[in-house]
Amino acid sequence: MYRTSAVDEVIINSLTSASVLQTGDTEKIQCFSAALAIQRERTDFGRLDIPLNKYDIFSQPVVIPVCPPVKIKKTFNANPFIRVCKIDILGVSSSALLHIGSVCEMTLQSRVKHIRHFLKNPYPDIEEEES
Amino acid sequence: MKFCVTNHELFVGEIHIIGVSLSSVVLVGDTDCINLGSAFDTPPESLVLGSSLVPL
Repeated sequence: MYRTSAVDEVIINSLTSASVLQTGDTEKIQCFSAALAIQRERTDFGRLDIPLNKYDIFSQPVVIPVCPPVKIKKTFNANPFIRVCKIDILGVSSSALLHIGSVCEMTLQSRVKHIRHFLKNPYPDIEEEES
Repeated sequence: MKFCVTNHELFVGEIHIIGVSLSSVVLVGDTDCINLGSAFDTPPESLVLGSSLVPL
C-alpha cells in the first residue's frame, strides 16, 4: 500500500527540544510540546518555577480540521520507491519531525507563550497615551 | 468518498531546509492522515514589568 522511501544522504545540524528523526514506517505518531519563552532584561540563572496552568494558552483547545472518512481508497504504485538524493537541514526543534518512511496517522501539537520581562518600562511614552 | 491514486516515479534531487519547528513535519513517504496544531501567543500584554513574573 505504501511506497519505500530511499534517501542517500541526510545532514542535520541540530535536533533539539523533543524533536524526532525517524527512519522506517510508523503506525501512529503523537507529539505535544508546551514552551514558555521568556526574554528578560536581567539574566537570572537557576530554577524558574512557573506553573503552566496560569496561562490560558496551555489549556485552550486548538481547533484542528478533521480528516474526512475515506470509505474506498485504492492506491496503485507504478513505481514503489520515493527517491531523494540529499536532505540538508540546519535545525529541527520543538516537537517537530523529520520522518523518512510512511506513516498511517500523525497528530502534532505545540503551544508557545512569549513573555518579555523588563524591570523598568522601556516605553514610557506609550503608557501615557494609553492612560 | 472514493479515492483512487496512481503513483508514478518520484525522484527528488536535493532538499535544503533552514529550520523545522513548532509541530511541523518533513515527511519523505506516504501518509493517510496528518493533524497539526499550534498555538502561539505574543500579545502586547506579554510585556511584564517589575519583579514578579507569574500572573495572579
